[in-house]
Amino acid sequence: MQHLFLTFNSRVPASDTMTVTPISFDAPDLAARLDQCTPEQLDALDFGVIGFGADTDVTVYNAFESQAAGLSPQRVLGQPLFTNVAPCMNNFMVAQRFEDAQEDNSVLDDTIDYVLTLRMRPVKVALRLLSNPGGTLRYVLVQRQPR
Amino acid sequence: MSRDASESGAEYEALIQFLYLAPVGLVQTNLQGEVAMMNPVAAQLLMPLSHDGGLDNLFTALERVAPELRGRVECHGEPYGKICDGLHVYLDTGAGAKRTPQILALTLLKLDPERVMAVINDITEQVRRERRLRQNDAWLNAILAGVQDYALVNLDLQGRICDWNASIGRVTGFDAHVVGRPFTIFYPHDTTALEYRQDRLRNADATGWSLDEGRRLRADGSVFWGSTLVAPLPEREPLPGESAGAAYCLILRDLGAPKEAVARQQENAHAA
Repeated sequence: MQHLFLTFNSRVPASDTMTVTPISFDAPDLAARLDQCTPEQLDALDFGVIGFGADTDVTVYNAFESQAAGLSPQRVLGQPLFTNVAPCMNNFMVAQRFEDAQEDNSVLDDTIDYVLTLRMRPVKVALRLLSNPGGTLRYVLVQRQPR
Repeated sequence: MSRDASESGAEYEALIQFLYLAPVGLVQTNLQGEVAMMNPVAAQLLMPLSHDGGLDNLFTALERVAPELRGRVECHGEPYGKICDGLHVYLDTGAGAKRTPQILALTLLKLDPERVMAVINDITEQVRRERRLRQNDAWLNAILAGVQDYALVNLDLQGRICDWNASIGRVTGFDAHVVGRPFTIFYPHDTTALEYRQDRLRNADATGWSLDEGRRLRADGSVFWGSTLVAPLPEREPLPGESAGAAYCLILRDLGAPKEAVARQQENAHAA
């Protein structure tokens, strides 16, 4: 019980008080911070967050990404990312980077320029690719670029 | 009203997802190649080709690998119609990129005087398969042309000879007129009964092959000792619109003059 209380207590101030700075797209050590976020906190972010497991099935799909792509989370959650959710990333620039990181057990934290076809419109974005050997989730973060 | 709105919202979402998941690249541009709409597979296939990190213009993205596109669209005088159909575009993506397609098929369709629709397919695997098949064909042709003591013959479902090749001529002396005759034409006349032929085919169907050895006949009436292997071919149902083709392969081997073969058999029997 004491352990639970401590864990709970340690998180409350971050979400309750508005003193913490909001998480930014280029913040360091971002995967670990996203792991700690509640769904509401993820939905409040001003960039897209897609979190997926070792099997590539999507387990996190925040409101920003859902709104941009025009897909509700229930159409996406539990689906394999690179074949059923974002086939546009199924190439050596994105999907293979995650595969290689998983194979080599190495850290992946890279930001690349990319084009997503959000509602069939080609949109320039920055993609941040995050994968940690010990992490439970891997992330693709999507930030729209000013045209 | 709100129910209608939510229904059409759900339909829109389903349509969006349908286009997101369509396993073929679809792009709509104007006549200058400026992209108006594009689905994810198009981005997946084209992004590795983009030099400026963008996909604003289809012709620019494909400039290096298909520089003729812009001109072909400009030259197309008709208000609508196909500009190119399944054009093979060879990519120079370099080594090390495992999942990178090497060959795309591109179809450009002029929808009206303002718009062009592009369909893009990754045909890398298909082209590789076709190439392997052509290489296998070349191997087989080389074998057929070079092999001395064997005749390789295709038979139809009734055991009739489907086509002629040089190996048949070399071993049996029969020419192309042999096509359409039953394979027992290579047998002495006392063993050419219809039942015998059917038994051999049934035996091959049941066990995967049927082998027998004995006296065989050449076109000039001379007799030699030979072995005959009959084996069923896979996928022997004719394709729609095609007449029945090869259903069995037959390999006829010339084992020499009957006396020599009999003597060899006896030698083997003594040695055993």
